[in-house]
Amino acid sequence: MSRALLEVRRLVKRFGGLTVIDDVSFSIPTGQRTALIGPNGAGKTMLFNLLTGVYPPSSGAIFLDDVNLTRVPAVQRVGCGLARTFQNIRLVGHLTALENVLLGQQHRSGGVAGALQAVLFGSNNRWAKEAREGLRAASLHTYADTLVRHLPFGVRKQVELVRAMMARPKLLLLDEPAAGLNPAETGELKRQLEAIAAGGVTVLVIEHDMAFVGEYCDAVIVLNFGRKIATGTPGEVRRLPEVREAYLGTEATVGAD
Amino acid sequence: MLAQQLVNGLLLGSIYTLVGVAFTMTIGVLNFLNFSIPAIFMLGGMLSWALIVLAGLPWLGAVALGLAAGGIASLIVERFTYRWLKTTHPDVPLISSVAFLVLFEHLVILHLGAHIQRFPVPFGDANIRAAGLIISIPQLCALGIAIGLVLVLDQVLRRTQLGRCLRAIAESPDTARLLGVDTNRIVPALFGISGMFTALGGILFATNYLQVSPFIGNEVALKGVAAMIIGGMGNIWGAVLGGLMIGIAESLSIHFVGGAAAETVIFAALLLFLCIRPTGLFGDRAVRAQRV
Amino acid sequence: MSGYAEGLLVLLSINVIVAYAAFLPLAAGQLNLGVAGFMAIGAYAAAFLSNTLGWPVFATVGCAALASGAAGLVVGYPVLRARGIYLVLATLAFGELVRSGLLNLDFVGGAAGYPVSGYAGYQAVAGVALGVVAFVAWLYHTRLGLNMMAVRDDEVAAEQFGVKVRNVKAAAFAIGALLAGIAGALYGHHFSYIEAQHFNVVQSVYIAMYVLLGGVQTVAGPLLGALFFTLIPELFRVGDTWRFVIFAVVLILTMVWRPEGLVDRDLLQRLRPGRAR
Repeated sequence: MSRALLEVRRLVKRFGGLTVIDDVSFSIPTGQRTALIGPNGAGKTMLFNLLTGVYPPSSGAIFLDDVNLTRVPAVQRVGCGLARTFQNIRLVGHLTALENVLLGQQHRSGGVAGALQAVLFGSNNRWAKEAREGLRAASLHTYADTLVRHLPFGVRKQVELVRAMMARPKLLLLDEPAAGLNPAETGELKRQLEAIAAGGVTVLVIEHDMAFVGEYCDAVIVLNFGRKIATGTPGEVRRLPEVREAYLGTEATVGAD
Repeated sequence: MLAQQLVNGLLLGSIYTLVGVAFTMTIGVLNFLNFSIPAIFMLGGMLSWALIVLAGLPWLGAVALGLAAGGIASLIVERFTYRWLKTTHPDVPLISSVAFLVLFEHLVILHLGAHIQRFPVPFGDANIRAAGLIISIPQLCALGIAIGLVLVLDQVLRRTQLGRCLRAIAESPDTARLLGVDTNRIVPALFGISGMFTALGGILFATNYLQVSPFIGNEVALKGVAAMIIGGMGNIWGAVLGGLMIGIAESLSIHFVGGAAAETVIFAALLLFLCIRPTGLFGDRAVRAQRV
Repeated sequence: MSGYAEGLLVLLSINVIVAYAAFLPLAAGQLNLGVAGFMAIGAYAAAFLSNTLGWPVFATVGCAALASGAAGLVVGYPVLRARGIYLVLATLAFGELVRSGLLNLDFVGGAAGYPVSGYAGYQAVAGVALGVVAFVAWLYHTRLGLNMMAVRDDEVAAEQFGVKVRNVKAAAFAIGALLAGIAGALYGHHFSYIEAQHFNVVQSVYIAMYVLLGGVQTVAGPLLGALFFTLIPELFRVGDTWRFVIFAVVLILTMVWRPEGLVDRDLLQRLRPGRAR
């Protein structure tokens, strides 16, 4: 099997007297598609924020591809191979889809010289071409020059995904990618995520849509009140009483096991 | 001599205290630096002068109307800055309040002239002489009024429904609204109160210096802000202490290094404070962290 | 060109340059109310070099730019650690500190002001203004421009993708300070006289006002703001006091109905039907 791409050891995060992540440990092998599930407030997005460096952990360690990320500042983590999307879409509304996607290339763009390369407003250099190609691959090329604030919700989610992939991550963190999508859009999302996984990217996704999790993910980590309460395949996890009680409810209606 | 400077400084500082409290109230509750406050300071003084000298009203009545005008002007500001602009980039309400500062100042220049005017007072030159110090009674009253009003405000914030609502809004405007706080009435009330505080400051300024002009707001603006910063944004007793400290600092600077350099000293001190201890002596609650 | 039109063109040019000086930090999300202080640094540096060393105008303006740009970097890094209102107040305090400090420096005239020997005609001033517009337009096309816009909109998200937020803010601040220095230097060289009292917080405030009126989403916004501010007396045929009343009212109303400013990205896109941009 593959070795661990992401390893989280005894991660703890406290805010004053409140412990939001309580001694969480897990590892994700390269290429595995993992879901992070749990009730609202369980700490899933907080875990992402710890992984990407928005907050420093109170204790514990994070290793990505054997590199200790724990003390690495947030701005450098994307360079180590991490990219993410956000629960509430965080694109710049008054820029076009293309311009937002260009931001994903930032860490590859090369220092001061890179900063001074013209990339916006009709530039046609390699960066713009690459960004357009990324949008084309996601069938979004017709939206490339539209301001994001005029784009429909589902399209904006896809643009965020393209932006994240533009960072060429090893590990892709998706925060509720299917939330708010209709069935057709969810199907398209799955197709794109299949292609991403086939391309060798390891995916960790926060999701509430258990059908989606069942179809797409190899493994599930369950959080509740900041603690990891279970891991396993989607099928295994669905059957665990503590998971049902905490999250799925006593009558599980998620389809055939 | 030093004692006299300290006394002068305290009395000077009481005016800065009122402006500082006005600033700190709006920042503490609404996270909004209301730059129209110096203009309302000026309106209190200038409108009172106009009512006394041009309209011939009795002193007390004119001053009361001047105060009321300050409150009303503040309500107008609220209507066109905070009320509409909560959801957009934070620069915007600030700049709108600045625009009101420009507007009020120039409207007063147009209608009342740009000159310094003599401000009449109904009492003569009353001084107490004690322990070798000269203390002007009007200035002493100003200090007493300022501290008294802050005491009242403190009680209002702590014990009344209005105070509770204001503190709820300070924690989180959205939650407060969900809990039934009628922000559409409470926020204007806050603006009105802070407007009257600063208008009173303008009237006290005019009473103490016996003159008033459309530019007095500019003189106190930065000092009022400094009082707010030193005390900690959102802390009204901090603003009192900050105002008094700035008054004393200014008085001592004028005595030892002269007027022009005194200004430099104050700006340097403010800049230093902002870089080293921006939360002030007592810490601030106003600047909310960005939520992820 | 009549003397009057020349004077107006010079004022407009300087207002345009200083508009972009305020625009760059704003585009990265910071309000610099000490712009006039950096103008003063540029003006006095250029005047000093011109008066005491007799350097030609292009050299003095160049040095003025470097001096104010360096000041922008030196002041910027510590001050930018402050956030939100603290940052605004710190820049304001800095601007006033420069003004009152220069007022006390007698070797550059002190309170009496400082005459400037080198002269820059209206063509030179207007030419530099055009150059500044072109420069900022180019800068806004670059990845740095994109980073600035991303930082203004959502600092945390920008950082997650590797944008060095602190550096971007400092760069915007310092380049803005540099432009302000150029404006100050040209002002001194054209009007042949500078005094510290002129470069005060009220100036900085007016500049910020017309930049925000024009809009900070696009490069065209500050230009329009500067145009409006400079030309109100011509457009409305009013004197000095009414001009500020009109300006203030227009700004207040614009901020209520169009807080992004008169020119925003949408408008720009609609004005270019053929091109995708």
